[in-house]
Amino acid sequence: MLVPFSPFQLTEGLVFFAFATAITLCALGVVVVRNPVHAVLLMVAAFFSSAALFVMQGAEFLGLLLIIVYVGAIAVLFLFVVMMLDIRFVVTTRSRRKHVPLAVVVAGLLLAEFAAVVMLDTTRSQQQVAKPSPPRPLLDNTTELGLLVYSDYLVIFEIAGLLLLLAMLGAIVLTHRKREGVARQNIAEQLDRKEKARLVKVDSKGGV
Amino acid sequence: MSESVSSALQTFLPVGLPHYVLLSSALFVIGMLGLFLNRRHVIVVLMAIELLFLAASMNFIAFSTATGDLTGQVFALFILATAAAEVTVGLAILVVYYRNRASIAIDDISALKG
Repeated sequence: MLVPFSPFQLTEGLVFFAFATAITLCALGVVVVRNPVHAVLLMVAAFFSSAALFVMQGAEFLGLLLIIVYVGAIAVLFLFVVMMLDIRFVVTTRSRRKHVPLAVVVAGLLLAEFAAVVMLDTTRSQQQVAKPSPPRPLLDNTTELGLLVYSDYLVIFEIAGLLLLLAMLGAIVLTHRKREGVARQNIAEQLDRKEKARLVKVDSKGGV
Repeated sequence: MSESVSSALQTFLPVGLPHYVLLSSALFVIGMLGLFLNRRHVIVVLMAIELLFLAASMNFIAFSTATGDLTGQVFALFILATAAAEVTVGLAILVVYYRNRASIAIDDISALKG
């Protein structure tokens, strides 16, 4: 006997499978494609589709964050580096190619294991538990998340901020270099003006 | 025939936790494959690491939704911050390395031992 499922479930399923296919294909493209610029664009597409899935699950804030951080910032960072470095196309050497079948077999095995675990568990749990629907949150996702982050997880949140600050400092320190022929401000020298330049009161019509 | 198709739809179409977990494990495997197989650019390795991070946070969010507990989303937020920090430093290292060696092909970086 078949319970007809609601049009909402049908739509949700179709949208999920569309985005899931997009994510999988784009991720495969990132790995396979030869041109790094194309790889970056495919990665952005994968992140965009995952943002859609996050929104579908009710995690709107993280979906929007994913779009802002990845599509907005990290994609530009990657593209900037790819184009700045002027990477030549490197041909894969034959010795490297011989690892491909082994790697694919191992990856397939791993995926099969994951799938087996998930499937076995759900077939068992479907018989036992009628899936309890999670309680509807009273506030919207962003508010709830903000309340949680700024109360229970405040210390971890601060540490995450510190981590980002450190990463920024690290990136600046790593890539910064002193170059010749560039005018720079030397504050110590500027303040230390004992004998070099001073204000003089000049008598009118007297000249210096 | 049509009944079997319908029952298959009945089983697979209502999207739930297993769908998201399977998708994230597929994403994880693809990212790992990219990490192992990629022999061209370090940049693509960094992108594969980003895919791994995405798979992890997708798992966190799926379980957070399934249990109705927002803690998973909080930790997905922290994963996002960590990933951003990691990619920043990684790209900075790449730029410095390119400045020194004029190449970032992985085969050339094999000189980087001890």
